[in-house]
Parts: sequence; structure tokens; C-alpha cells
Amino acid sequence: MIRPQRPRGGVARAGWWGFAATTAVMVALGLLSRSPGPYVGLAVAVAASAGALAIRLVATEQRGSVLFLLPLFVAWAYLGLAAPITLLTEILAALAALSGLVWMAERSQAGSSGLRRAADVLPLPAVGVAIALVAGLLIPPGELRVGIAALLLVAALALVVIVLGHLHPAREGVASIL
Amino acid sequence: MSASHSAGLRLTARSWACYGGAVALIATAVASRDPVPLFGAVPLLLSPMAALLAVPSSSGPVRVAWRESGNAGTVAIEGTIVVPAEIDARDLEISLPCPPELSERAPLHAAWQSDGVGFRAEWWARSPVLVRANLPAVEWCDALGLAARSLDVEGTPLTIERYPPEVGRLGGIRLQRTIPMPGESRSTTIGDAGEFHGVRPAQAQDPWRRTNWRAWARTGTRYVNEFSLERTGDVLLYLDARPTSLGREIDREIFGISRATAIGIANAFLREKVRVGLAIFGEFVETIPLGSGRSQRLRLRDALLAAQISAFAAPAERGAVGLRRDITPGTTTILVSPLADESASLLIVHLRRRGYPTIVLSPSPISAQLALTPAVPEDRQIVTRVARLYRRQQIARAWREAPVVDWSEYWSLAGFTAFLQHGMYARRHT
Repeated sequence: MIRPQRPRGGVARAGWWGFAATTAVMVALGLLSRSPGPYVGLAVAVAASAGALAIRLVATEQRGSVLFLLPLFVAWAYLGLAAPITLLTEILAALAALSGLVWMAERSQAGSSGLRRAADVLPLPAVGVAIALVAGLLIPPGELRVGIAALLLVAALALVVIVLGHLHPAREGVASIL
Repeated sequence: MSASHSAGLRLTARSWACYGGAVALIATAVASRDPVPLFGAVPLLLSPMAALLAVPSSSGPVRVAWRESGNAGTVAIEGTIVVPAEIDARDLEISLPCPPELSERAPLHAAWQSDGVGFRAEWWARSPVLVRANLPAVEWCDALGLAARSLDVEGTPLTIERYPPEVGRLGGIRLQRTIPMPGESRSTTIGDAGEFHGVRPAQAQDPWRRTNWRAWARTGTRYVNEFSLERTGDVLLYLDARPTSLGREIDREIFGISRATAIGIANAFLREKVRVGLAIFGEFVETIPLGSGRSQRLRLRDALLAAQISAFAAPAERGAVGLRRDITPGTTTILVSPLADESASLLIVHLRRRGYPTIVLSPSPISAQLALTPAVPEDRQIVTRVARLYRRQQIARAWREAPVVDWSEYWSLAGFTAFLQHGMYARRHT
């Protein structure tokens, strides 16, 4: 099978806007790292971004589009743990994931800019983040209830999607997949 | 028109990666009793659901209009995909499978617009080929590449025919008539040249050189001459589709070349209004009776596209006996066979015994055999030499029964064309 490619496949696959946004947010999160220090956090943020970019540039379109997420996940987990529990770090953690999604939207196979197209999909995760932030403010940190609340939140959102899928049968397959 | 059916909506590998990442972040958050990673997990969990919600409502099929061009081994594919109004063409992903008989020279290049996608690809045929390219697969994909949905595609599969250019000259060759005694039947086709048939009142487009001046002088009305067109002999293309000792892979390759050549020869003769028939001998003989015209061309093409090497090798005699039901004896028969086994030579014997004057066009399997030999140059030389000697012996054996054209350079049929023009099966001009 041959897939659509632009003449300069590697460069087109990079997704420079997404890379810049993700790196900026992760660097900000890294600078807030508490232990062992901001320099380690900064190094982790830059290394993860560079690693993800390298994977996108070097790997094939199909593999690279999935594998580049791995260094980002590791970095998000590390930076999330290293940063102090404040509202700012929570917002930055959420923004890091959202910017990662914007980076995902920049695909060389797609016919138009990823940023424009991402506007159709990103509002729901953004609303989810907003709800989570509100919930985070109300639930004391460091409690087991945090995890339970998160699970309940996700379950509630999944339920909403299922209901929406049944309400709009034209969107076939949504309910069946979920 | 044919359509490929959609496989429905599905989540892509990216979605599952997002879910995996989200689960890992949640586990980290719970294990470390730190809520910060949890906020990174929320967008990852929700994005696949958001992608599913962005799926366009059910729409009509996308339409593909495409064509192929190029000469010799080059196959340039160009086309356009027109999408229904409900779908933005920029959300589409296209994949075009390259048929196994061809190799990819340039990757698929797509140009997206709001109402359609233009695409082009370049393939390459190593040897003559007759193959049908399936419609491109078109998939709608959300902005993040998390959910995808196959779309119904409407269009006509593309038939790619590549054969040696000399085949085009075959049509002009006047073959021996099919009937036992040449000259016994008169052609019913009236034309510009041939034997005098009669006169008719002239029409505006008739050339002056066909004017019958005497008839004009006597009647005062302009008359033109009409002629009975000479008809050349009928042609039967006979493909030996039995498995040989060469092995499945080489058999398939040689048979692919044979199919392509057969459609090339058929096209050339059909252009000259010659009746052409087809016989494919695998386990049994499958024939398409003699016929001419565009519909016959399509019949032959479809039969050749569907033809495959059979699983079992039938006895040679069956190949000639079964032929008499549909094909008149005396028809000039072009047998395309690699002559790899003695059974192929026997087939020639039986064809001739049953009254089919046969010419053998034998694609040489040596190049395909050499591809399987070791890369050591000395060994290769010895193998080549032995293969050529064995081949020469086989051809010499077949020559006792019928003329054989050894065809080793697949992109040239000059030898075969020259043989038909000057050989024993061409009609002598007196």
C-alpha cells in the first residue's frame, strides 16, 4: 500500500507549530520542577520534545504518528510528579496534553492545516480539563478520592458520549465502539 | 460501475496509544497520590470520544474518475476523487494499492481541495502486463487521526495493458483464410479497395478517384465503384495455462506475460476487423468463439484478466479435442507457451492433427530462472549456459511440429511480427 506523501515527507511530517507549543508548555512545567531541580525538569522537557520530533522525522508516517507520543507520555508523568501541586502546574499539565493533541493534528497526510482542523475536536477535551480543574480545586490533593473522582468523571463523560451517540443515529458506529 | 463497501467506523492506533498514555498517567497519579498527572490524562481520555463525535453523518459514495497513460513499462496514474457535499475533502486519506505485477516508481501524490482530491502515482512494469488496478481506498479521518471511517467508492477499476509496441503492426498482416480452400467464400463487406463489386450513385463525401466515368457518361448521374473487401484469415489465440516443471512462481510470471501479449495481438487483429478467438487450456479448454468488434475485445480482455495457471496439468490431447466444439479447424492458431515440458510439444502435435495450423510464440523462462540462481558469477554463467542449451533443445523438438518463435526479449516482438509477415502463414500476394 502506498500512502499519500508530500515530496519532502520528513519535513512535512514534523509539525513545527505543534512541536513549538508542546515544547514551550513542557519547558514551563519543567522550570517549575521541585526535585531534583528545575534544570533536570528542563532537560527532561527538551529531551522528550526533541525525541518526539526525531521520531516523527525519521520513522515512517504510520509508525511515527504513534511512537512519537511515548517520550511525551514519559515526560508528562515525570514533570507532573516533579512539579509541586498547585493550580498553575495542574493547568500546565493539562495544557501540555492539549498542545500534544495539537501536534497530533499536524499530519502530512491531511489536506489542510492541523491547527484549523483541530478546532473541531479540541473543544471537548478542553471542556473536560476545565471540569477537572474545578473538581481538583474542590477535592483536597493527596487523597485516594482523587483517583476515584477521576474515574467517576471519565465514566460520566463516556456515558454522555454514549447518550449522544444514541441521540444521533446518523453518527453510526459511535455507540457500538464505546 | 463497481463500489467497494465501507468497513465502518474505527478507532486508530493513535486512539489506543492515547488511552494507554492516559491510563499510565492516572496510575502514576494514584500511585504517587499526586493529582497533577491526572490533568494530563483528561485530554487524552476525551480526545478519541471527541473524534468519534466529529464523524460526518452518513453520506453518499465518493466518486473516482481516473485514467492511466504512459508507454512501454511506464504506467502513470492520474485521477480525481469527488466527494459529497457533507464531507470536506481535506479530511480524506487515500491509499492506492500497487498491483503485485507492477512496482512502484513514484509514491502516491495527492492534492487536496475542498470539493475533491486529485492524485497521481507512477508504476512500472518489468515485462508486458495485463492487470486490473482496484479502486483507491478512501478513508475519512478526523483532525487528530484518532477515528477513521472507510467511505464507499464508486468508479471503474482501471485495466492496464502493456505489451510490445511491434504488436501494433500485426493487424496489417494478411493471414491465410480459415476455410480449407481459399477463395471459395466471398466477403460481404463493401469497402474502398479489393475486388470490384458494383456501382452506386455517388454521395457528396465520395472521392473523385472512385468515380465510374463510363456509368456517369451513360446515365448522366455520377456513380462510384464499390469493392468487396478482402478478409484476412481468422486467428485463434491459444494460451497454455497448465503448470509446468518450472515451478509455480515462474509459471505465474510467464503466464502473465502471455496474457498481456495475447491481448496485444488480439487488439491488433480486431482493429482490422479480423475475427479473433481465445482458448485457455488449464485443466480443461475454455474458449471464446471467433468474433470481432469492440464487444469481442472486451470479452477477450475479461477472460484473460480472469485466467490463472491451473492447479492440475491436463493431458495434452484434451487441449485439442475440446477446441473443436467452438473453433473451426483451419483457423490460424497462435499458441503461447513456454514449452517447458514435453507435454507442451505434444499439444502442438494434437492441435495440428486436428486441423489447426499452429505457430508457437514461446516466452523464454530463462531470465526468470536466472533470478533464482545463486549470485556467484561462475555458477551463474554455468547455469545460464545449461539453461540455454536445454531451451534450444526444447525448441528444436517443437520445431518438428510447428514453427516456433523464441521470445526472450519481452519488450520486443519483432521476431514474431517478421515471421508472420514473411513466414508460411502469411498469405502470398500474387
